[in-house]
Amino acid sequence: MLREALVVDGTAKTCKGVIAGLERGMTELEPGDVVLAIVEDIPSRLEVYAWAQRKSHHIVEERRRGVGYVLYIAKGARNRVPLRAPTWRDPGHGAGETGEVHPVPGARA
Amino acid sequence: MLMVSVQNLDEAKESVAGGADIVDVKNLREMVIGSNFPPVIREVRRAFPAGVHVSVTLGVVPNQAGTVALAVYGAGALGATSVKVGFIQSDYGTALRILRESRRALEGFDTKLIAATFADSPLYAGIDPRLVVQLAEESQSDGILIDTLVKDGRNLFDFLDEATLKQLVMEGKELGMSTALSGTLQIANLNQLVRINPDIVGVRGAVCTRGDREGGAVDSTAVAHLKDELRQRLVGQIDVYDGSAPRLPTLPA
Repeated sequence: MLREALVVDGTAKTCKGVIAGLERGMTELEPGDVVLAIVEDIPSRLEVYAWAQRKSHHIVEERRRGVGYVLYIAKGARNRVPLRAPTWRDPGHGAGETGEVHPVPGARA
Repeated sequence: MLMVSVQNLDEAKESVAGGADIVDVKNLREMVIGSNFPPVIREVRRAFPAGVHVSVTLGVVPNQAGTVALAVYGAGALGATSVKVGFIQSDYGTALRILRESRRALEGFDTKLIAATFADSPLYAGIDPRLVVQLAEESQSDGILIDTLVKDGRNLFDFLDEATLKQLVMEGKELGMSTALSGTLQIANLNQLVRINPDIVGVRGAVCTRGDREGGAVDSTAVAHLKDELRQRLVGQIDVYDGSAPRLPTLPA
């Protein structure tokens, strides 16, 4: 169960993409806080994974949303596991219409 | 997002009809990618709702901060979504000063400032195009564009390789900037572009009649075709990674 502190919608028709939004958003959060990122294509999904690994954040859950993806990213703290145990509520942003949640293999939460 | 360079309202309408997200108003008769006239920009801006982004290019600007800042102010007053200021034969300090003055000129406007360099600028002993992120950061610009100036058949990838462009794009994104690549890009370049994943891909010749960026005109069918080719790569219907992409979890569709 995850409660996101912030939603970054990479499908919005803005010139700045999801990474820019995540970078901005993460600075406001505490380690362990969870950001919900919505991306609509494979390159952006790959980029979020690579970015999260480089920044020591953790993708704790992920699911499909239409042709795109919804990723739950816990803010990291110097390679430590998220400090705040997240709890679930429906994000209410059209994400995961089926309500199914698919934990990422090997992810820590 | 797909950005199409246009010269007038008719081309802007063709672009939007074909699915362009941004129409970039320029004037090919001035330095290949020069500025268009205020009435043309105003006409294009008024023709579309705010959801259609209308950018303005200033092309290659002179090394005169006041002149450029006034032109940037004009773009803001015309309601442009963004204004691109490009440098070629400038030193870093001059380019930075011009961008900082441009930033000040946009105070009170919603218009975004885009710092642009040209990948082929070494041909002209110009500013190193790889400095674009640093320039944008130090001038508090909102985004970057890397373009080319020569229109002789060579394109962006003839001057900067995929790895370098990917690095610049990611650096820009991590600084909260929008990132755009342009420069005689064709459908044949889409695989590389999708792997680099800039926020914006800019084209003109590829969507013009006869593929002619100067003698042809933007055609909505060509825009729609290119956009669909891009979409197919983004959603994986066409694999741009040749099996080299990192393995990620497989999720049910």
